[in-house]
Amino acid sequence: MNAEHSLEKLCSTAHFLVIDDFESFRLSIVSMLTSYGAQSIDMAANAQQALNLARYKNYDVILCDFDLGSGKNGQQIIEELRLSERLKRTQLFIMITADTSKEVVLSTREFYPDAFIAKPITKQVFRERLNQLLQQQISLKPINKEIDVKNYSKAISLCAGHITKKSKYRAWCLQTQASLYCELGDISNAKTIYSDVLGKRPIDWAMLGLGRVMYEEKKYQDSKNLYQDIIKRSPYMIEAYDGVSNSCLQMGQLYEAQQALEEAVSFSPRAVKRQSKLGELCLINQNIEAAARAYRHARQYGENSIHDTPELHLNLANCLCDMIEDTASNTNLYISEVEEILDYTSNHFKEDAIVDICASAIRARLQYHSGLHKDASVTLDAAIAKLDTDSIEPVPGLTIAKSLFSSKRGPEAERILLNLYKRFAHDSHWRQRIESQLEEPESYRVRIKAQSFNQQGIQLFEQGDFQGAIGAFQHALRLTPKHTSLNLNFVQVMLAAFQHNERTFTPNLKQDDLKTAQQSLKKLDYLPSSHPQYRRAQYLSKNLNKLITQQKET
Amino acid sequence: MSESSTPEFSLIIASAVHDMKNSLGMLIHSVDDLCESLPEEQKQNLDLTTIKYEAERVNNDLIQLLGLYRLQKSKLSAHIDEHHLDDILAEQRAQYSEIFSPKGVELEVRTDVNLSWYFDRELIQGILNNALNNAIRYTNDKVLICAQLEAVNDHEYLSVCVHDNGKGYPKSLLEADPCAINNNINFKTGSTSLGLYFAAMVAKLHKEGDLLGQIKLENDSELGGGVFKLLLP
Repeated sequence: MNAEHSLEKLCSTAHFLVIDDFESFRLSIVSMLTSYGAQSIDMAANAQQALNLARYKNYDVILCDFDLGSGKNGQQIIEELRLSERLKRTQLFIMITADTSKEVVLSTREFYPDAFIAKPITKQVFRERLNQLLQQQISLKPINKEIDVKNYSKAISLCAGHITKKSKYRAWCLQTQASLYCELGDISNAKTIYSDVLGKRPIDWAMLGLGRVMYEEKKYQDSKNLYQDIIKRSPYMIEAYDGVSNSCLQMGQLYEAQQALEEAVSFSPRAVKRQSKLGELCLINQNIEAAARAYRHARQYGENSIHDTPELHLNLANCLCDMIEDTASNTNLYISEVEEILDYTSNHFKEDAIVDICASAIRARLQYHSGLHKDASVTLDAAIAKLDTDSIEPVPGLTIAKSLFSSKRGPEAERILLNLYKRFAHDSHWRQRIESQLEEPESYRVRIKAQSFNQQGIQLFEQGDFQGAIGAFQHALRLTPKHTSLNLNFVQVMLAAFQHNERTFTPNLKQDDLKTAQQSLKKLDYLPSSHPQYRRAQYLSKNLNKLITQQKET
Repeated sequence: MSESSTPEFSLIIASAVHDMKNSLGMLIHSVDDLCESLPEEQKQNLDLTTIKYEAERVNNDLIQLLGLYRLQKSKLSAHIDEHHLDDILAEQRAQYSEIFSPKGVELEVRTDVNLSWYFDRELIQGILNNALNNAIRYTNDKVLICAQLEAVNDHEYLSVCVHDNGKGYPKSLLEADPCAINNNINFKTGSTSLGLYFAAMVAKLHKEGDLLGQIKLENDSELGGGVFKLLLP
């Protein structure tokens, strides 16, 4: 163990940054620090000053108040510093807050401040906490230095030293070692550490670590179960919800993935990145109202945030347009909200020409909806003219396609989507987004109805009621004629019904019925071989063709 | 998730308590600021200790109320990690020395530098704060807080005790079950036993296998008064 350093000595060589919007508070912290021997203390009254200072100077200790009045708050400062890798492991970031509500604490904890200190701070307690933190900082500095320069193997062996010596920081070193093994891709060593720790106590960090290990091992059901266990024990462990969501995503359980994120944001709403991710998931799940809710939060908390992207504003505007086009009531409120969003977005992201094009396309949706069909097509055409539709990117492509569908220009929309599909289908995220528009350009309430017919058809099919199933699928197809799995379901039940009838000699299906099945398959010609339903489509197509030739021969 | 339904009464209370807690924080901060700006001799004459002690008590009560609300909603969970007892107790000492010494009460802390154990830092510190608040009310001139390992029925527990040299706990409290809050509320004396109830509940959140954390009140202190004992598996 290192010899104890005195607080006075540690303070006298450290550079401090004190961030608080109240001068009296800044000064009181400074006077306390000075009384402990601190000599180098800078102050910032807001985030902008703080970030500027932190850019040019490596502070040993940053003391930051959460609520900084206007502009970024303390959480957004640490978020930005962490993401831009300007906050080194050797630096201490201490969050000071008067607001100890779960929402604030949990949201900030996601960016791992080294400590939380609740206001009011008394001199004695502050001295004691600072002393403990500085002692830890100096003891672990050699390890953190290596991590900062990404020399992980050296850091791991330094940790081992602390662990064998049973130092005070043994637990920290075990946790650090295991996460560094993960970074290096050495999953089995990480697993050993987590399992050893868990053999003695069910410690949260080790459980989370083991979940990550299982995820990396692609044992998604196991990782999902473990993360759910963690949530049962510690309902505020945000990382566990992300773990459940990611595991579900890997297993194609999109709705559960959405639910897990919804729970996480219900008590830690400030992480903009998670809100946008939730929004995307809702869009894929066709859950437009939930998507709008997520994007509204993302906008609200994203103000000033490094994660404030034009996409989340545009996505929200599109969701609201979906809702406007779908319902008769309440639209006026939504319309003014869309207008406000579009104005803000065009203004705020002026440098980005694509954003302006997208905003115009969405404006065209509003124009068309209010009956100004000519204006809408002029606006939309002007937007399209600014782009090369052959090399269009997914964001403007999806937006323009949506607007084209809304103004009853389906064939043009499909051309754009198919083109996007060819170029971006390898990326599962974009593939899902493009598919959900390509398959179902209809309004989302219609889609929900179609989904329930589809479910009904599957149930009837499983019960052996082929005629009933065919009827249900046909109902659904009338609503969403392009839906991939729906079309495949329809073909499958037709084939099954034919084979069943052959056996029972009930000639109530005809050649014409086979033709409709063939048409269903034809709609899916565009599916690339990477599509998850591709092989099923191929298989059904082969069987259908066989059946048709048989029928012709007889 | 409906957003427009009427919130239940306990939620209203909880948010009011939360608001009070924030206000109290601001209040204490302003008092501190105000005192700092006074000349030295005036500072001496002010009975700051009472302000700080009472503020601390109100703060603890509010924290407990919020904690009880979360308990009732099954939203209070222990975030278990390994902690060093000398860090925890040093912080306690720092927080209370300001209140103890002006009242002429000596606070002694006793633990092994290498002693560490598994618990939720904030929750346990809350319990200890409350125990210290109580001890200073009833002690003569000494309070001892000590942490050590203790075997109970062959199982190892962490034991943290707060000793005093007062008259000891009244018989009714020693015999009452701290988990049964209704038995102990006495509006005449102002004793609600809220602190004890909350402490017992928080202790119970600390589980290890079949073992549960618990609290005990005894009158066999080495200082001659009462002992508040927290046992964590």
